[in-house]
Amino acid sequence: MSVVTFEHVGYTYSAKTPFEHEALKDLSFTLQEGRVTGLVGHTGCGKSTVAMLLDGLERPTSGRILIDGRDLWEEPKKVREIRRRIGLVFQYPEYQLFEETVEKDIAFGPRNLGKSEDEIRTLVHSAAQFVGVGEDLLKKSPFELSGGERRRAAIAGVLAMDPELLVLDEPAAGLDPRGRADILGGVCAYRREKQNRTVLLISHSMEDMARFADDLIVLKEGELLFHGTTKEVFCRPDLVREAGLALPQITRITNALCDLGIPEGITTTEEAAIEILKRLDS
Amino acid sequence: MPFLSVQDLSFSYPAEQNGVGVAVDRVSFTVEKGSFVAILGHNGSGKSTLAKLLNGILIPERGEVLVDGIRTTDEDRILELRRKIGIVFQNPDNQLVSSIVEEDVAFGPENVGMPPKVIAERVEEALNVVRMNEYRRAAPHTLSGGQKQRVAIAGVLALGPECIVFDESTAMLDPVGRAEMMEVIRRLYKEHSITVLLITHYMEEAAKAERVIVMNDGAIALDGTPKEVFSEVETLWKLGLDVPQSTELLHLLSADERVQERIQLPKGIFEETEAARLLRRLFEARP
Repeated sequence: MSVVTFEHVGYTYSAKTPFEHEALKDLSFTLQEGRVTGLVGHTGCGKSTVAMLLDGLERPTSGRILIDGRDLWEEPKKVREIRRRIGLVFQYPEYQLFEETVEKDIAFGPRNLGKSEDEIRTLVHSAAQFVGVGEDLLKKSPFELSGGERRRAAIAGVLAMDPELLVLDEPAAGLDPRGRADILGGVCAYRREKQNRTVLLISHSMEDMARFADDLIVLKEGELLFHGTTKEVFCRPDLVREAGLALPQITRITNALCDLGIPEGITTTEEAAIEILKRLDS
Repeated sequence: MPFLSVQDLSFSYPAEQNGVGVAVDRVSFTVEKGSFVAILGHNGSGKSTLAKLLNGILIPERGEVLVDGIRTTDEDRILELRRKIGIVFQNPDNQLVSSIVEEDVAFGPENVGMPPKVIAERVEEALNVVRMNEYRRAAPHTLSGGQKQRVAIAGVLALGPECIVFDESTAMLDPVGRAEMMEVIRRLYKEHSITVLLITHYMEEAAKAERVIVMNDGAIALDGTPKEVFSEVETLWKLGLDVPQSTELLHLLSADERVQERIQLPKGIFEETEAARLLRRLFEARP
């Protein structure tokens, strides 16, 4: 897969009722193959609606979603076929575990796709490895795991279907720093090791985006505010503020020192240290 | 006498409840009335178990907890104890019981048999403190996560507690909701003299406390002011925790010779304006 394009997409919840709510307005963007794109914006800006539409769970009220140039809803009966290539991780996916063992739970997806037992075994083990679910955990009941382990097991269940487009809605919410890094690092490893995988990462943590996203789409009240590389967005504190978000502390500190020759839009502390030391030499 | 006194406290979960090892292991500390203490630690470090031991939801296996002089094992006084120390939990959707905000806040006071007139006063006052009075007739499900948590705080406040424990109450909120909660917490201890124990894994929240206790494997690993605790960058990393980015940057820089030749950067700096000021000094200094 490759390219996913939103073409003037609009979506209205409960249309023609008193609860009518226009969640997305004339939204256009293209997700580049092989990149991790972050989707950011304040609560209620339409992030989760984008995920739902991408997975074909609902049909856009207006506009089109193109996958490899083909309209997802061109033939409504074939949406299911396209959906097999898309993996969606909902918020708090650990509530969706249900099998007797973690291994069986992760195997549920590939088994439904009609894979052979051999293929299933390989897929399960490779998916588990990406997010650090070890052999010992595979044999346990999902209910014996800690919160963070359960979350990783649920994400492995989606990775095991080997999706070409992986959409994750707040995959690290509520986890401690190590738990966050395990999950987001695992997703990036999946993207790196498999060819041509596209990842859409939804989060309101700009710190996580700084470390894991190549590009960012910034939404505000259902509309596109900006789409560019993470660095470009981090050079625009005005836009970030307008979207109701905050840049990481490190970016705020270094942006305030640009008169000393330190570049704007620094994303991580390591990068900040390198840039500062470089300028001490000159 | 300190408000909260924890002496030699241990607790482990029974094996059938996934009990692997000791959740809280011989912990001792005291907390003075009206102070603001943050408790940090990775998932599974014993923070939440400790919270449940503080108001007698769990009973110590060893050692004791005294809240304002009342032992948590004193069954005759447990209700009195629980009115002194309230808990706000993590999930905003699991703590509200009524279909109208003010009825939800009144639930606690009604249960302890307060007269209706007092209840009405308490509810209004509590909703004012968390700035939710304009939503008193709203249905909880129409509120944002941050607003729901503020209603949950009001429900605890209406009982007139002396101490509130926040058990990762900000973990499921967006940045705006977290900021709202931190503002309420600040007012609680500054303006209403309520003792606050904030269990969190957000460093920038812990940085706002007067004191930070770091838990690891059920024991206290570090205990001090935010500045003292964040000075231990390597230790915190080893415990699977982060430090504020400004602290980390100065830590990385101070390991470099070129920086050492110029100035000595202090440890444990977590305020961005102070970090920026120090970096300017670094650039002005000559080797």
